[in-house]
Formats: sequence, structure tokens, C-alpha cells
Amino acid sequence: MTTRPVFGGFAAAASQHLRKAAGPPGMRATPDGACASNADDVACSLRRLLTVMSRFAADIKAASGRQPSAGRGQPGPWEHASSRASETLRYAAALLQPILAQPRQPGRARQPDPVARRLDAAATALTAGREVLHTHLASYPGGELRARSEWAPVVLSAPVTRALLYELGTWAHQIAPLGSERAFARAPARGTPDARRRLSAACQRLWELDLAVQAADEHDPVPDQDLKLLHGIPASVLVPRHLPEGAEPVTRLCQGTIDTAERVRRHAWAAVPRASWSPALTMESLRESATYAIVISHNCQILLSALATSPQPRRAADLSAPLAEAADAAGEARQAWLQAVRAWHGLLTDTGGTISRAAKEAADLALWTGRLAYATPGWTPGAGPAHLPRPARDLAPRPADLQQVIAAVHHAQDTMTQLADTDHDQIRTASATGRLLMPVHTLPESFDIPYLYSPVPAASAEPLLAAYRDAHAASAQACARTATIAEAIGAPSQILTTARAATQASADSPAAPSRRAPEPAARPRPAMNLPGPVEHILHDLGVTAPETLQRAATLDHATEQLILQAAHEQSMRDPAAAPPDLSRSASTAEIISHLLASGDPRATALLHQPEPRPSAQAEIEP
Amino acid sequence: MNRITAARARIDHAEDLPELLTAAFTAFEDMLAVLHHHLERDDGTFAAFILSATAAANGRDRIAAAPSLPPAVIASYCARRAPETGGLLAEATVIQVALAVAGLSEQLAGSLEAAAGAAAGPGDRDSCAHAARHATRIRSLLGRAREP
Repeated sequence: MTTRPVFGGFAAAASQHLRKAAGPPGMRATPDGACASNADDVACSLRRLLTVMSRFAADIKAASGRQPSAGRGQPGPWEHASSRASETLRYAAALLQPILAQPRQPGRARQPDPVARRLDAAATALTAGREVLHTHLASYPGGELRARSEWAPVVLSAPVTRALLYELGTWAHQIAPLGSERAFARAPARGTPDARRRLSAACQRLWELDLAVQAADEHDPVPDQDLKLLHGIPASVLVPRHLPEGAEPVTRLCQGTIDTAERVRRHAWAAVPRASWSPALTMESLRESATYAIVISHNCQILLSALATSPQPRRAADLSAPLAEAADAAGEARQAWLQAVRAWHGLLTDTGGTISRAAKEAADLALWTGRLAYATPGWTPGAGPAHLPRPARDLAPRPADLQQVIAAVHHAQDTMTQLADTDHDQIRTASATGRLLMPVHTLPESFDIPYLYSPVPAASAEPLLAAYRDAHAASAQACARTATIAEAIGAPSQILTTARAATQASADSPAAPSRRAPEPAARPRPAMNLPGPVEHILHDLGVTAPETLQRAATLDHATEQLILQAAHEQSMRDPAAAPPDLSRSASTAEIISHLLASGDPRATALLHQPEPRPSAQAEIEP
Repeated sequence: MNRITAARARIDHAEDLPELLTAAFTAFEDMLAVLHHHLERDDGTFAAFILSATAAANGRDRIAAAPSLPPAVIASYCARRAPETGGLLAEATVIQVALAVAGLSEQLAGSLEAAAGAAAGPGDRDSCAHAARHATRIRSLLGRAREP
């Protein structure tokens, strides 16, 4: 759909670096040095990574504060997970802070640790991914986030922030065993004891984050479509304005349509907050935008009709009826826009002569969709009568071509839907601020009236606003029909549907049940099969016999269960008592880490809750 | 006489700025009525006709803002309950309609450009200049219509 960077590209790169840092599946610390990374290097790199992750957690918290349910009732599991993520990541990063301050031994040049390099690469990828999301947002002092693009409501929506939190949990799940193994590695153990202890404690916090996210996901699963939406969020960089030259193949025309549709959306969105003062808010602009919406809807109707009437033998499913219905819906959108244009009868704006960027871009979109819809390579709106529509065999000879054409129509129709919304809001603002005028025609000619026009009373603006609402409803209906086809054939424009649903769900309620179905595929994170302390010792001794290792694992399990039971009984006797810091000793820290890695949520109760620390330590650049 | 021919005659006979503005206002209205009447006749001309209709509406509203336009014109326009249906070139082909409207818009653009240069008041100059541009746009949209 787009060649621009998307968040998912960087997230996937980070995950890949973390996978490579962990080594091949099944590889564990062994005496031959397979995991003999330098704990100091790993801790330093991990701190950079955790700093980036803590910024993500802060973003999630800030976004959650903007969502409608914020401050209402008891926090849900995702709110709890968000809160835990902020605390655990900040604390984990702070734990590793002093290691950074220790100077490396002078005069000792050595190869950078490979695991540390992977962690650094993951931190870089995640920093870039966060930048992609932040191209849509402006940060203000105090952590307030404001929208800078039409994608911002999506980025700040509850579904996307939950998906991001889910990803944080996934990364924590990848990092924690990696760090724990380095912390507890025996011969040839490298790194200072202090670094290893801090590394172990930081990784315990990551297990805690992972468990909190898993608990939230079990209670209220993140749908796969929300993860796809998060990954598909592009950087806020518009493709430069360009027009068709006349010889473009259908593929290029589709991409030009998609690029231009996004430009229209951006400029229309940006115009809304300026409506009270902008000289570009003119009757001509709004009327032209609406007129181009008619032409675009008409072109979409022609395209869908052409596809509906073609035989298309290679289709997996017969789409003729849905395509015909979509074409009819596009025709109804066209009629609704026509009524919006007519509703301007007798109304003016206080400024004139300027044509807005959105209207100019809408003219471009009419040209791109027209070039796609008609067989004439040099088609323009003024080309004259009897231009034949482009036949379906040229439009979509292969299934992949059909995906592209449908994606282009989908983008154009989504843009018309957004345009109706933004223009409605502009008109409403113009009316409220006295910028919408009507003739003072009721007075006799003999009266000395100083002005020909006066501001429109609210009631007189209502028919125009109603016409735009109708245009929005009809365009949304047409878009929904095409979206259904896009989903059926796997067109890349499906992200639009998810994005609109996400913002709608956030507007209604973050837990809107209507968009929770279908349930996501089960994504249980496997419990990490890390060796416990006894098993670890046997590995160090070179024992490979499965029965012996199994006995060691059983002993480790029994030890952990005994500790859990003892902790539970202690908490029953004195519920107010905070658990002691069991991780201060390397031997107990290893047991606690192993418990956390097993995925037992009771293990988090064994973690010593730190005193609040200044968060500034986590703000050092990674 | 159809509405396009009548509009051309009124522009020809306008003797001063208020008369020209009145004729221009009515001419834009006439173009709008004719274009909407023939809008759905041909898929190929639909885009040109609807864009021309919008340009005609914009031109009309620009003239409506001219200080020298007699207020009665606006009052009459606003008081009108339903558009007149006569003289809409019902028998013409879409090409003939397009060329007729293009001819009127060309004449109108010329007259308004001249008026913009000669008008004393800035409001009138501005209105005439902008309306002339809308008329020119109509001519460019419809003037290239040819029989296939």
C-alpha cells in the first residue's frame, strides 16, 4: 500500500535482534561459554533498551489519560498493566543506571559484546519505531500529547495503545530470559558481581511486566487486527503532490490515487481547527470540494460497475453482487454530495476567492480516479462525452490487480467520508463565528441597508449542515461496502477499516464489545523453560542425562513451590507486611527469576517493591 | 429563444455596470439550470457538467457580492420558490449544450474582464474579476466537447 516507513517494520526489526541475541532456540548457558557475554556490557545495553521501552510506557499512560474511560471507576486489567509497565520499566532502567557510570578499563580494547550489540540494535529500532508514532503527535510539557495528523486519533486510541502495551510485554518476554541467563551464568562468568545482581533484578521486573500484560490479555484479549493496525501505522510523511502524465499503468494509477487520497485527508483534517479565521475557508473552496467529491464518487461507481460486470474466472469467490451493491452505494454517495452542493444555495462566506489546499487536492484525486476509471489515457473532467470506462480485463486481469484497484477505491471513498466530516465541522465553526452569510433580502429596496449580507442564524445553517451529514452517511455506507470487498480479497486497504473502528471504539468506549469479535487467535506466550538453580549446577557439571536433569528440575520446582507456599502463609498472617527483598542474594534471586520465567503470576508477590525513585535517571538518552 | 441565447442578448445590451452585473448574475443562473438539467445524460460529460455548474454557482455568488448589483436581483433570487423550467435546450445533444454554455461563458468572461478593468469601486472590480475567472473555467471545461 505504501513505501513509507511503518511502525511494524521497526518493531519487527527489534524483535529479530532480540531473537538473535538469545541465540538459536534451546541454547542455554553452558560451561563452554555459549552465554558467556559480559554482564557489564549487556547491562549497559539493556539499560538503553529499557529507557526506550519506558518511554513507550509513558506514551501509553499519557494516551490512556485522554481516553474516555480515564478516571471513571476501577482501573481495568489494561490500565493496571499500563501502570505496572511504567513502574517496572522505570525501575528496571534505574537499577542499571550506576553500571553506565562505571568507566571501562583504560587501554583495554576489546570486541563489543555480540549480545550487547544486538540489544543496542533493538534499542535503535524501537527508538525509530517510536519516532514513527510521534510524527503524528506533538509532545507538550507535562507529557500532554496533541494531534499533528489525521492518524493521531488512531495512535492515541485504546485499541492501539493496548496493542503497543502487548508488544512491550512481548519484548519484555524476549529480553528477560536473555538477561537472566547472563546474570546467572557460571564458568566462565564475566562481569562484575554488582552488574550481574542488577541485571538479574532488572530482568525480574521485565518478567513482572510480562505477567501483568499476559494477565490483561487473558482477561481482555488484544485482537490480531489491532496488532496489525499498530504495525501498519505509517510515518506522517506525505508523498509529494504529483499528477498523472497519461501513460501510467493501472498499478501506478492505483498508487497515485492512494497517495493523493491521503493528501486530501491530511489537508482537510488540518483545516478544521483554522475554520474560525482562515482566509482559505471560502464558499468556493467548500463547494468545489463537494463537487470533486461528486466526481470522485462517480468515478468510483464506474470502477466498481466495471469490476462487477466482468466474468473474472479466477476469482476465489463470486464478487459480482457485492461489487454491484458497492457501485450502487457509490452512486448514492454521489447523489448525497450533489445535495450538499445544492444546499449552498443563498449562502456565502465572509471571505472569497481563495481555494483551499484540500479542494485543490480533491481536484487531483478526481483526476487520478478518472484516469483509472476511463480507458482514455489523457482523460480530464473536460474531455467531453462518450469516453468508455476502462474494461475490467485491463483494470484487474489478476487477483493481485483486483486488490490494488479495490484498495484505491477504498481509499478514495474513505477520503470522501472524512471530507464530509471535516467540511461539516468547518461549516459549523463558520456559522458559530459569524463567517457564514446570507442575503438581507427581506427589507424593501427603499431601506438604506449598509450591508447586503448578514451572518446566518443557526437555524438557517442547519439544512446545509444536514446535507453534509447525509453526504457523510452515504459516503460511509459506500466505503463500508467496498471495505467488505477489501476484506474478502485481502486488499491492503483493510487497515483503514481497522483504523476507523479503533477511533470509533475509543470515542464510544475503549471496551466497545461490537469490535471485539472475532476473538483473536490464541497467542499464549510459552513459559520459558529455563534451568533452575539445581539443574543449572548439573549443566555446569556437564551432566546431560535426561533423567538426572529431570530430577534436578523436579527439585527446583519443589523448592519454588515451598517458597511460594511459605510466602503465601506469611502474607496471610500479616497482610500489611511488604515482602523482603529476596533478590539481594544471588542464590535466591536465581530461584525468583526462575519462578517468574515459569509464568506463575504468584511469583510477582515475592518481588520487593522499591521505594519511589526519581524518574530522571531513566531519561538519559539510550 | 432558449435561456442561453437570451442570456447572451442581455449581456450584449447591458449599458452600464449594474445592468451588466444583473445580466451576469442571471447568465450564471441560466447556465446552472441548463447544466443541471443535462447532468445525467452522459457519463463522459458528467464531470465537466457538474464542475461547470459549480463554477457557475461560484460566479453567480461572486456577482452577488458586487456593491453595484441592484439589491432587487438578490431579493428576487432568494424569493424564488422553484427554478424555472423553460428554455433548457431540451432538444439539444449534450455536445450542443456544452458548446452553447461554453459560448455564453466565453462572452461573459470577456465582458466581466472588461468591467473589472473599468469599474470604479474595488468591490465591483474584485467581484467582476473573480466571476470572470469562473466563467473562463466553464469555457475551459466545456469548450473542448466534440462529437466522439
